[in-house]
Amino acid sequence: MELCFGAARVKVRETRDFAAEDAIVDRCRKQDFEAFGKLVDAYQNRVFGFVRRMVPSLEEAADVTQEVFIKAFQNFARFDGRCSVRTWLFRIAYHLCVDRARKNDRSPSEVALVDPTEGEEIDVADTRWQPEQMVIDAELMTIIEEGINSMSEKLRSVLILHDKEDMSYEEIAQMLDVPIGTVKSRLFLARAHLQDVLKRYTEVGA
Amino acid sequence: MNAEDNGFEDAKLNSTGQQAIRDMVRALPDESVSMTWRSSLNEQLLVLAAKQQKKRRILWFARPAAGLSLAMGLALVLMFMPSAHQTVKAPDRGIESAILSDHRSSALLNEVSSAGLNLTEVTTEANTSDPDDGQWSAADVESL
Repeated sequence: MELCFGAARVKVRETRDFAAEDAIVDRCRKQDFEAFGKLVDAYQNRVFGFVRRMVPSLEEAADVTQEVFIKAFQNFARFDGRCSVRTWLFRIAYHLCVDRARKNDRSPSEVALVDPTEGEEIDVADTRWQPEQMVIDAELMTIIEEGINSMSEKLRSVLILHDKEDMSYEEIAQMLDVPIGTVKSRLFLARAHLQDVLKRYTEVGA
Repeated sequence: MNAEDNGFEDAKLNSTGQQAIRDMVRALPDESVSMTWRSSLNEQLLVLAAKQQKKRRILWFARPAAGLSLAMGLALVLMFMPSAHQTVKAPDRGIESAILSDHRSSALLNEVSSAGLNLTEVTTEANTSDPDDGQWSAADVESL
């Protein structure tokens, strides 16, 4: 019973959040500076987190993130509401990152489109049921970050959007203009690539 | 992608190894922007907002002004433009031009003579010399 009340309360809260966001979006369409500031506050860190892993340097990430919000402010009248503001902002961010990478002629080495884990089991500890014990040391973090950076933008963007930003397959597919199947394939390959990187790291360590 | 492929893809994505990688990626530290970054963005947005407001004000004045001046110009042109009634010249085409010239000659004939006469008759009459018309005969001179 308590659980039911809890679920209902969460639902009411979510509905209120959506309504509040809709009101903010309406004000942003009328170029309301204050409302746009609230939107920036709500999404700045998430957008920055995504961009940070898509471009090589921290300064560039900060610049691109500013550009995302400037573009959003300039073009808010064109936001049709067919997708969420979050998806729209991430779409702008993704396209800016791709443009920036092309401009810098930075082409990361593409990951081969084969399953590197085929036919073998990789021993990676499943920490789902012990989140309090999940301690990833700085070295492992660095390895994962390097592994993410060595992926192509296509794989990297899907991995970060799904696994880090908790976006659904549908949202990512809508954002990148690709079928859901493609999103799943890219996600699988991205994770497989990280598994491979970790495997090589443990082998070298051993 | 059919349902079977979809199910297979989901199963692969839900495997232990893939889920472990997902948890690791999720555990990566969250990035946050600095206050300097935020204030710099605010400045840029303020400049942009001011520019857009200025542009909107100019457009608010310029659009009706442009419409009014266009309407006035059009009205002036219509008012002072000389009305030229130009006749349309029929193209010179076979039967139509023959009918037209026939009509014109018959209208002319009607004006010169009267109804019922044709051009040939008028010409014939004009050419026929009447001996009594304007000429003095010898008998007339004697009678004097």
